[in-house]
Amino acid sequence: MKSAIRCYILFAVCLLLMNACTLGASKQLSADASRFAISVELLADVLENQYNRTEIANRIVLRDSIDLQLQLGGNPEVSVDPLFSQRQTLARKSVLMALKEYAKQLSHLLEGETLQSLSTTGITTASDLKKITTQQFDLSHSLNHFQTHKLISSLSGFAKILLLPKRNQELASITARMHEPLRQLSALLYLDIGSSAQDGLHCSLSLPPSLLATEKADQKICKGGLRGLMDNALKVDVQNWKQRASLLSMTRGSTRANRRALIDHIFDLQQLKQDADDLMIEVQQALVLMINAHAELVVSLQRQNRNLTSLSKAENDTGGPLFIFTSEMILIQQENDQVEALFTRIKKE
Amino acid sequence: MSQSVVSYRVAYQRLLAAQQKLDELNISVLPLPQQLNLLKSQQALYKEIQALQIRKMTARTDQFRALTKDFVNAKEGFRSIERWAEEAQKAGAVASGLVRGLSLVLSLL
Repeated sequence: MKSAIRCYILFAVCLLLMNACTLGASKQLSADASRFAISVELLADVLENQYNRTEIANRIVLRDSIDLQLQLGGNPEVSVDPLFSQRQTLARKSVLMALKEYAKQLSHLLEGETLQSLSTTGITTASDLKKITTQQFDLSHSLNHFQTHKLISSLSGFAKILLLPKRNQELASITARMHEPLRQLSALLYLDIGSSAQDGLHCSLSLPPSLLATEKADQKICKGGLRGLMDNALKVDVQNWKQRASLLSMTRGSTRANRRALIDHIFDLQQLKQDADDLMIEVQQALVLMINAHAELVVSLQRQNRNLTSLSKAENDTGGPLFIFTSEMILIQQENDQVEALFTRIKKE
Repeated sequence: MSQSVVSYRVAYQRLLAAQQKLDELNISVLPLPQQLNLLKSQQALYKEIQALQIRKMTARTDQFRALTKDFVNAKEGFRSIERWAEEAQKAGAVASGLVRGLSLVLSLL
């Protein structure tokens, strides 16, 4: 089913790109930048959804645990602490907003608009970005303090470029300068998504080579981050519902229908655990694809500046980085919708 | 087991092992007070593991200190289950791994 959907999407994107082949040089670039911006916005939105879902999952786990203790006549403390503080949540939202703002600026400029000044959103985003600290974006599940500080520092570089007034003619150099901060920002998000792998004392996953800083050859990713948090939350909630089923089977009022309802709910939770993790793996891959697609845009802009007629790779090659990124994002959007539907059903139980 | 100096990473492994052992316990065979202790202990382990995953999981060699008050407050509950498990183990009702898992968690407190 998944591969059939993928084929359909690839076919649809091929048709779009064939249409794009009839466009002129600058129009082609404008269309490419527009597709890039749409996909980046989608990526940021999916990730923001997952931050929200992880926080809600934490509430669900505690709600279900407290509920069962009350049902058994216990007197538990009824309180919940969010996983992330408000400042930590704001830091993540600012990074995602900056990503969207940059892609939007790029797209608008290539559509012929001259951005002499930024929108209010852009100024606020850049300002928020400069204020982020390692306390707000703690990646100590995988990085030491120095490494985290370095990545966070790159955000202020990103913010500075975001604030520059830009003209179409300057885009080639601006996007080229922006590539490194964008790569670091992607590495930051990749690490924040983290891993759900049970590695024992040694962490087995590595940061993909295209997101690695040049001087750092091997960056390991340990269990933790969004994937680790969601995985543990749903695992604990599955256990809680198994305990309910076990206790129910011992009571006189237990009916087959009651038991089946509990079992169905456990199945849903197990499915969500798997699907949510798969979605985040895809989002991590999409961050890498986004960097590749951006590199392609940089090259296309440089070629346009030199008045070369050979345009973006996407125009002639439907297997180019931008094509792969946009195709992947369409698939991710569908998977995100499925995860959201399942999550909404589970929330109501 | 007396409290010893352990790193966050080792503590995390101990917490996971204890979580697994408690998950293997059939709640329906426990007396009511232990059922409640079990649920409270599982909740405390959950919160501590989440806190570690956000913050200190691989702060490598740093000495572990409990991050959540729930985990600290669950000490008596862990002890109570441990005592029950020791008795149950003598009667062959539970596997020895549970006592060991609880003992390791208690060593963190």
